[in-house]
Amino acid sequence: MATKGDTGSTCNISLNGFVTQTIKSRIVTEILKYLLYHREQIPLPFDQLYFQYERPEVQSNDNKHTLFKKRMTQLLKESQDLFVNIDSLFQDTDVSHIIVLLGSTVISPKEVYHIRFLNNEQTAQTLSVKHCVRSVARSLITSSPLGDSPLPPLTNMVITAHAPRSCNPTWFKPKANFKVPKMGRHCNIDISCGMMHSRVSSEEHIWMQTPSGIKGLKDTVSPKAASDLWCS
Amino acid sequence: MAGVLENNGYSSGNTRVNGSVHIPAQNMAGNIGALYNIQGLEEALPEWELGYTVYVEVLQHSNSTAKTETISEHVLHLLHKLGTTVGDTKLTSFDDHFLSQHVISVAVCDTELQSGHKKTLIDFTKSKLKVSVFQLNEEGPAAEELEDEEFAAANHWLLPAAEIEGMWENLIFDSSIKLNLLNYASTTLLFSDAKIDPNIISWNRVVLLHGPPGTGKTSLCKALAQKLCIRLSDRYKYGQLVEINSHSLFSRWFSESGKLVMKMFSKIQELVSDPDSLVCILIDEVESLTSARKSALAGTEPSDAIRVVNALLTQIDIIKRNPNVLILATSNITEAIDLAFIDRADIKQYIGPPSAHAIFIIFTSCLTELMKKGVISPSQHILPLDALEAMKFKEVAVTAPSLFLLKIAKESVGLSGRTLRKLPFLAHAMFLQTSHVSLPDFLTALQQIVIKQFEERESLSKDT
Repeated sequence: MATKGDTGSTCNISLNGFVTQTIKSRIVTEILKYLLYHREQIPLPFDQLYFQYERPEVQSNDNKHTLFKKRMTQLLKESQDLFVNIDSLFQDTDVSHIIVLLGSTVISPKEVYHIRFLNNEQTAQTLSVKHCVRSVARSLITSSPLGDSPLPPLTNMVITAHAPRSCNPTWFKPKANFKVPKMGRHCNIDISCGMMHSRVSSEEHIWMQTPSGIKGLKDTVSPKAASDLWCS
Repeated sequence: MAGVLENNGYSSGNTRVNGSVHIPAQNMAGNIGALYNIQGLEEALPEWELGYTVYVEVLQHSNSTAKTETISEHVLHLLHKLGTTVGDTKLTSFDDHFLSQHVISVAVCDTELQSGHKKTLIDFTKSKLKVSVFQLNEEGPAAEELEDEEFAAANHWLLPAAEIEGMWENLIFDSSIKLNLLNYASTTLLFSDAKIDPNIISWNRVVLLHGPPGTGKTSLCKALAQKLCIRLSDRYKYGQLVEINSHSLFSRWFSESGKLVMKMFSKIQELVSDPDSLVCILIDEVESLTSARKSALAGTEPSDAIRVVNALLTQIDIIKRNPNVLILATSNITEAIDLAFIDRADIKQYIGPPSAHAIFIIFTSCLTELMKKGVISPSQHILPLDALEAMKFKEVAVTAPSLFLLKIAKESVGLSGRTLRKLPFLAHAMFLQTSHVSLPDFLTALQQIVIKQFEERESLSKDT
């Protein structure tokens, strides 16, 4: 197939300073949100959707399109779960490589994103969350690593993280046999930043996979959804 | 702590509670006869032939990160400590702290298949053991789309899948169908490994199961794929089951259908090209894809249908060159299948409705489940057929329900496996409707529903 063996594109992001585990997990979360929207798995940017569907005052009124709303709420809830668990994984252990797989199963993905944190031995200047997230977002948008590639259909998003064997995950499922798939279009997002030296550096790492994927959702109910962003 | 050992037979009624035997752990290491309060039973049992491998399947906890080698070491230690067992056995709780933390169950399986439905005495210290450790995938099937097509053309399972777990044990056939299929698969892989020239000895990696509806053809295919994945887990990292939706490969555009088949198979080819994965392709109701080309010549079928058959046949020939693929096909109407496809099938297995013996085992498993969950109480043990035979079918208090069940089983010959599995449900719904039933009452209801099934069938045939 045409997509096979595609070496893919790389997006290098350099942060001049020291990042904590919290910042790393925030960066991953923001990249996931960006990918969901950019690869058209959700109809609006994540935070916009969250603002529309998850606020308590919105939830009660108007009974139209309840099925879509229900699914959307579900998607948002699952994503929130995912973000919380990614954060706790980062707090618990040292994760340096995360793979985002878009496709029906983990062995037949359509698109594969590698998020890697590289140590660039910077000065011990600690960076703020805001600064990091902004520069990552800016780099992603300006370099647009997959800008002109065809969009995948509505599909599943699964995240795997390379973590030490000893970390005893509760939410993530260890997949000792997982192998980085060769199929699909690959894209590397390399983030070089100052890091605390790994707590357990020599130990064997295995892949941890999210127990369920996030299924894309198309807006079938509001025809002018895209323009809402500019109206509101 | 107590060890729990589930075993299907040779136990006196009063030690068994809900289908499992609770015994103190220290007894487990020693004499298995003590377990059943029968002394000297071992000598009476046929011995396990030492040439065969005993397969031990270890289900690892889905959150466990322990290494496979460590687990199999512990399991081997446990089995050697246990010494011997009788027939198929499943251990679900362990003295070993490591095992109880990381392992859900250890199953000694398919020994009864190997020895022809007989329970044999297996000595773990003497036999060749093969321990396979596996974790279940809980994701369920994923829809696989073809490019430019909106609908799913195939269901894609990652094996071992949680949904298919336990299916193999609960499929009951009379002849050695299950063993034949397993042996077929292992020979296929042996020949591929030995790099035997396919131009001299050729095999097609196609298995065709046919027979009336509801006899478990599709389930058997799925269970076989799962079984192979578990057994071969040291050779293949992944197991995959691709369930092709035959109807979705037909296009509304004339002449496009053949191309859809091509697209489907090029997708499969991508999966197969990874030598670490074992790919089982399940084509359910294969007659819709390989309808006999003869009938098309008679003008009753559009020529597009011929193209589909041609495309499928050539694609099978291409894909069979890979060592890690197995094609499983099922069909209800064998006459409608193209002869060229039938010729390509290495095994053409007829799966008929179950016999009285198989029905008896199916009913026993249904009733045991109902007793376990407390719908039938008090729970009574149903003796297996060979035990009844040993007692010369004499009617005493212990054997009465078992003999009655055997009578019902004989009456239900002719019903399909799917029907049989729902009969206990229907019996409860139609005749009982109380939350606790005694076994004799339930059996009476079961008999009534069997009679009713045959009446229904007769009235259906009258209509036509």
